[in-house]
Amino acid sequence: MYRALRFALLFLSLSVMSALAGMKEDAQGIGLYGDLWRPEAVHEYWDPGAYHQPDTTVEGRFTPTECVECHEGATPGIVKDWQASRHAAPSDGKKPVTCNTCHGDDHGQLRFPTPADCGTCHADQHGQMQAERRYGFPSHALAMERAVNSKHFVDKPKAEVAACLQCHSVATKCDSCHTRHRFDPAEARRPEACLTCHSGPPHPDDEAFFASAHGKRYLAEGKDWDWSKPLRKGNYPVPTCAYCHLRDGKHQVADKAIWKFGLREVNPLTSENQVKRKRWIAICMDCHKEGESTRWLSDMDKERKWAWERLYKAEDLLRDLRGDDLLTPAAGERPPYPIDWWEKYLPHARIGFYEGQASAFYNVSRIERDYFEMWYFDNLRAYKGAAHSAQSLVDEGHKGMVEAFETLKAEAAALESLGRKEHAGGKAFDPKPLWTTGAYTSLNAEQN
Amino acid sequence: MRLWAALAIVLVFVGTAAADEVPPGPFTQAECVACHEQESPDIVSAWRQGPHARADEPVLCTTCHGDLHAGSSERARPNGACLDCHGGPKGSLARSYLTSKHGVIATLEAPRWDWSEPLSSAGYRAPTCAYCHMHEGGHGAGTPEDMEAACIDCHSLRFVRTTFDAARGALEIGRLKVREAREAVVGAEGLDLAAREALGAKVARMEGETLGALRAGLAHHSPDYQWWYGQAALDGDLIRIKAAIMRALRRGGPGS
Repeated sequence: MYRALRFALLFLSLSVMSALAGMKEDAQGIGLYGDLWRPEAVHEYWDPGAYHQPDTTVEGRFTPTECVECHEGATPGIVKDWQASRHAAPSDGKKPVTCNTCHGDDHGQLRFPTPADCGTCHADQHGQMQAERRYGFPSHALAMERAVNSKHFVDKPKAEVAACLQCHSVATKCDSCHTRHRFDPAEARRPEACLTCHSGPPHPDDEAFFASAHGKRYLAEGKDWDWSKPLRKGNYPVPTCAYCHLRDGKHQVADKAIWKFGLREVNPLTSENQVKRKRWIAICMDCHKEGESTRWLSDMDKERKWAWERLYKAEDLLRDLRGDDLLTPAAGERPPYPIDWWEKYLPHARIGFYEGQASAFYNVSRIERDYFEMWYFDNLRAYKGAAHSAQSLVDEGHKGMVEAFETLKAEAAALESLGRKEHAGGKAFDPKPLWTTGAYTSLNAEQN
Repeated sequence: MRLWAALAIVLVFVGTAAADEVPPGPFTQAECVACHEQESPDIVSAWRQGPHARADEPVLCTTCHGDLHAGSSERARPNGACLDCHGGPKGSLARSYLTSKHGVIATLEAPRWDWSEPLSSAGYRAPTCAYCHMHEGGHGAGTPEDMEAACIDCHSLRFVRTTFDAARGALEIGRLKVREAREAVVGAEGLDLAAREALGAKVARMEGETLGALRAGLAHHSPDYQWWYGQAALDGDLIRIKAAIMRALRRGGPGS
């Protein structure tokens, strides 16, 4: 009874929170499973095109001068930022881009600019980014779809997965890289502009770059370089994130994505990937010889082969345990994904990329979680190291994988011996109560 | 020309007068407090009631400002003044800030900032530790309301309140995960004392380190600390604690 009351209170407080803000009460989720979830109030700031509702506390139409006069007192930071931007004083005789241009002049109907709004002036960049969709995941253009179409995003409380949208909003607003209201290309060219999202255990791009010879030179000298220069040959002593990944300022990061974030094995020599390899080699050749560049790319193929041999062995270990019904809790003894309705009748532990283990990092047995971390953290550390010529990260990642595999083997042996004894004794331990109830797990189950 | 000369004389005079008013130092803590109780009593009383003065090893005026009067504000305002005590540059407080957009802007632009700007009215393009936690020069413990005052220098009140509410909701989720782990340990029948203590220590670490990382991520707007070091890591902690309970019970059970 007490527990039910607590959940009711939590629900109530969460719904009051959304009522206070501007999002429509009947706002629905988006994406493949959009009819199964409702957004939190804060989602409007990460996907304004889908959810933003104008603020109606101030009404009336205003000129840009009036906007600035009032906001110098109300929110001086954004006014200072805009005044220092090229929008306020374009250098090439164009008309200034004022508050009204992007937000409209009716305060009761103000809008948050979407990439399409930015694209009315920055058509090339917007067009390039939209065209990136053709390369599939992973990409900036498809990042929001990637987030909301993930099963764990649909399953988990929306207050929790609001965290995901902050990075995945790179698809839905341009200020992830060009922060408002300066929108400075020079800022977006610096490697730090990327690290808010490209850091942390599964994608330590920041660590990898800064540990490389390129990154070390950037750290030592980068502050003195002229960042107003375009990302072209000869303009910078070493490449940075944007120099390679957004070559010539072309707003596409996926046009050279061969290894697809390192989450699955790919054939790096397909005809499509041959085109992408040529693109990479052309960039390296701004400074390096063709032979060297080709060899580095092949070295990376070898590193990936090494990693996938080990990952597949680990997956085999897990599949054997699953086949022998030794995973504890087994698939039927833990909360199912609510969107997979057949799970109730045919529970199935997900192992590996193609079975959807990327979403199965909670509500699973320890050995599955251990493998998830080997795959997502150690493997990707090595991958990012190899991609950015940071051997130290490759070594750390590989060492982590070797150790993780030993742990998996020991865990598998323990599961086997315990499981066989219990089966022989005819009295198996029932893990279900432990894994299907609890403050968080029960809330999650009730919400779905 | 004559006007410039006159202006120069006035400036020199004002400069000398100001210098006369406050000797350069060095000052002891007692001297700082004695003078500032007259000059800026709010600062002194806020400091006295705040966490810095009440710490086991109190953080004094001189800890952050140094003991010379000239440049004392400029020394205390940059983030470097805070990090030595607050977990160092690699701790989760610093990293959650540095990987946020605020921190990124500070990393790129702080070398060019004028640290004599007051900690108000968006004197800096991005907030620093002191800008939010000591907004308008407040020397007490920064409450969430104080933070709100700092945020609205750049963001709308609606954005700020919605973001704060979202952070409270996300932190509540994190707390539920810790509670689930704790209740699982407490509710497990048949654990011996040693196992119970070891599991209790795991729950304490989950609450201190992982929930702490989530809180830092939410407070400092770091997606990585909210997710990979926060929520997703709490999921991992919960799995490992439940697995350890299960292992202990299975070993102690009929099959052992």
